[in-house]
Amino acid sequence: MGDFFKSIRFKVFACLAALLLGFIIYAASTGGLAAVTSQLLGFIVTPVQKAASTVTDAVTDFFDQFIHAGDYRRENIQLKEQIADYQRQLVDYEKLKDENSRLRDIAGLHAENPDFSFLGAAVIGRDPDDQFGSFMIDQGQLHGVSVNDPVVTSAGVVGKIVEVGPTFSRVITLLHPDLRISCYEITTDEVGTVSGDPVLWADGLCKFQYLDLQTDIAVGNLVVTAGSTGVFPKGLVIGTVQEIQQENNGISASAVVMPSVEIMKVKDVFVITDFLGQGESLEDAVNQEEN
Amino acid sequence: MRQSTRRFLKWALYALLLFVFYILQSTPLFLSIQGIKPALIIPYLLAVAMFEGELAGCIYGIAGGFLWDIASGRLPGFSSLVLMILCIAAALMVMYLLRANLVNAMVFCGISVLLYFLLDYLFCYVMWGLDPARNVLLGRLLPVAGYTLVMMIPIYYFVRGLSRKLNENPRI
Repeated sequence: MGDFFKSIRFKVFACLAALLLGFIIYAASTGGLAAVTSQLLGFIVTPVQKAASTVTDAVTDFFDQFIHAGDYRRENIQLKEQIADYQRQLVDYEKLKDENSRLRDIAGLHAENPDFSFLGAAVIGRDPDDQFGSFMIDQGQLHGVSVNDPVVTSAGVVGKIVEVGPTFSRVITLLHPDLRISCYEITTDEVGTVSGDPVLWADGLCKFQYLDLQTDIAVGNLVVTAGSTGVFPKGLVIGTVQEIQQENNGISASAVVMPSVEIMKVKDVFVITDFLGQGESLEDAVNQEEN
Repeated sequence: MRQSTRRFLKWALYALLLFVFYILQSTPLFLSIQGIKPALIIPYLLAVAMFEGELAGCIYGIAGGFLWDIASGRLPGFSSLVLMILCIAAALMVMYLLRANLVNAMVFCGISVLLYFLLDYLFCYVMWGLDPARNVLLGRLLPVAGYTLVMMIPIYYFVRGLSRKLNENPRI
């Protein structure tokens, strides 16, 4: 080995080492040389490295499926449980949201009408054959619902109860010709009857009938319940007047009313199970006073 | 084929393989275990030096070190100098003192990776006070050194087979 240290080759190696040391010192002091060489090499190497990386990634991913299959399975089960949990939470959240919204409505209605007893209800079924929008709610006799109880939302009247089961009830709406509500227009105080109309229901409208032929009611006026029959309390909003028409009989007029509630889309309602004057019609009151 | 052409092709093939090992070493996820990857260049260069002599060790050591420095963003020349010295030392040991077998290759590789990573640690971390808790040394550099030592086995056999194929009269 001693020969090697005396050889020219050793001297060449030593020179190379010295050169490299010089190169290191120069690169450390300037930095420029390093940047240039790095960029030059990067220009050559990057495409090759990119391809190698793509291949490696593909191969790694392929084997990774088998190597970590157990982990993935466990993770999958965990995630599924997590999703189920979140879905349960989501259902609870939606329920709470609906309940909150319903309670807010009740609070608003109750503030305006302290004598009302409300019962929140959800629409649980609509008969597709019933064009007048009748529906079933999830509250019945056991909850205190009775036939003829008004059904409303915070926006106004929806309809009334026509049939009561133990845990459900059937509601006919403002669009139904069988429902007749004594109403008045708040600007002119003109009284009439709102009911469904076999022609207007298709547009979600109802009719305010038996108005004076020279009625002063104008388009946009508000129609509310009169509370004279003991079925609906006074002052519940029915809707706004859309059009005034002369009746075919020639002696009265009617108004087309757009209900304030979207009857066909309503999902949550309130049943007014009790209010001051429920079941007492104006006629009864007059007779009592006369007696 | 003429002797000079054959020699040129042999050197070109070693250079190409060095480039391939460099690409593989710097390819993300390649042979990665828990984020630890082997430094393939060191065993390859040592094996080439053992079977092709000190001149090959010197030239490929400088080239491989230079590639590695560029890839790692280290000061250019650091790895070149260290790897050149290690490769020449390995070649001389085989020429004058030891036989070229797997055990000796593993010993060379063990000493080389330990020296290389300790120097790297000294210049890149200790000098700048970057690793007071020795996290890099124990959690990164030593595992990489161990993994590299393991990789010496297949690389040794690969380079030995290649050298025997390429040399009509292998040096060893």
